[in-house]
Amino acid sequence: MNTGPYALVIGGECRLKRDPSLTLDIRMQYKIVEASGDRGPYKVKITAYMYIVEDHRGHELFSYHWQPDSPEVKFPHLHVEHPTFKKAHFPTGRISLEEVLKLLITDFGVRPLKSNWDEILTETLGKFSTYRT
Amino acid sequence: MITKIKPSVKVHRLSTNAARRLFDREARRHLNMSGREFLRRWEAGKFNGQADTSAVRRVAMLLPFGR
Repeated sequence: MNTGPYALVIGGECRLKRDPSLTLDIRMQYKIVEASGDRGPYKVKITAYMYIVEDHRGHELFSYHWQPDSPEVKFPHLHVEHPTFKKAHFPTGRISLEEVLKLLITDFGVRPLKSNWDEILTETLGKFSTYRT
Repeated sequence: MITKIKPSVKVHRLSTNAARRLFDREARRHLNMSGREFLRRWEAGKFNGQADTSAVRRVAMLLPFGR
């Protein structure tokens, strides 16, 4: 079996429901690894991610990165596109896609497609927290 | 190949050639170079010192498509 790494692009560049709109570009790398217990015999392991949020003109606002194979910054971090600290890498823990989606809905006014979005994201975030390695 | 998971979600599994075309397109879009050229430079360490730019990072995330 080819265990990867594989690349995953979600939605190309997703235009989010908001006025003015925002764009979310999601890029991940993952491997298939052996697992024991109720997640076995194999599971998907995320090995790198980029979540990039851009404004309606295509200008990057902020982005979460984790690319441990990078020749430079290997720890998970946040970039904020501001002239004063454009090159700063704000350290973060590993950020899940669910956390980014929640942030966009609660703090940026993105309109969710489903009324029970919080329940859905909380459930999948719980699985991420339980099974991440 | 398209696998339907839920009515509103589709997973597109790319063939090797389609994945390479996507990688090439992204390298040209963000860095004005071919995917093959990006791969050559990346593996030679030519991006060291500038790998932490948004454009390089975006293409580097798709390296499994280019290899």
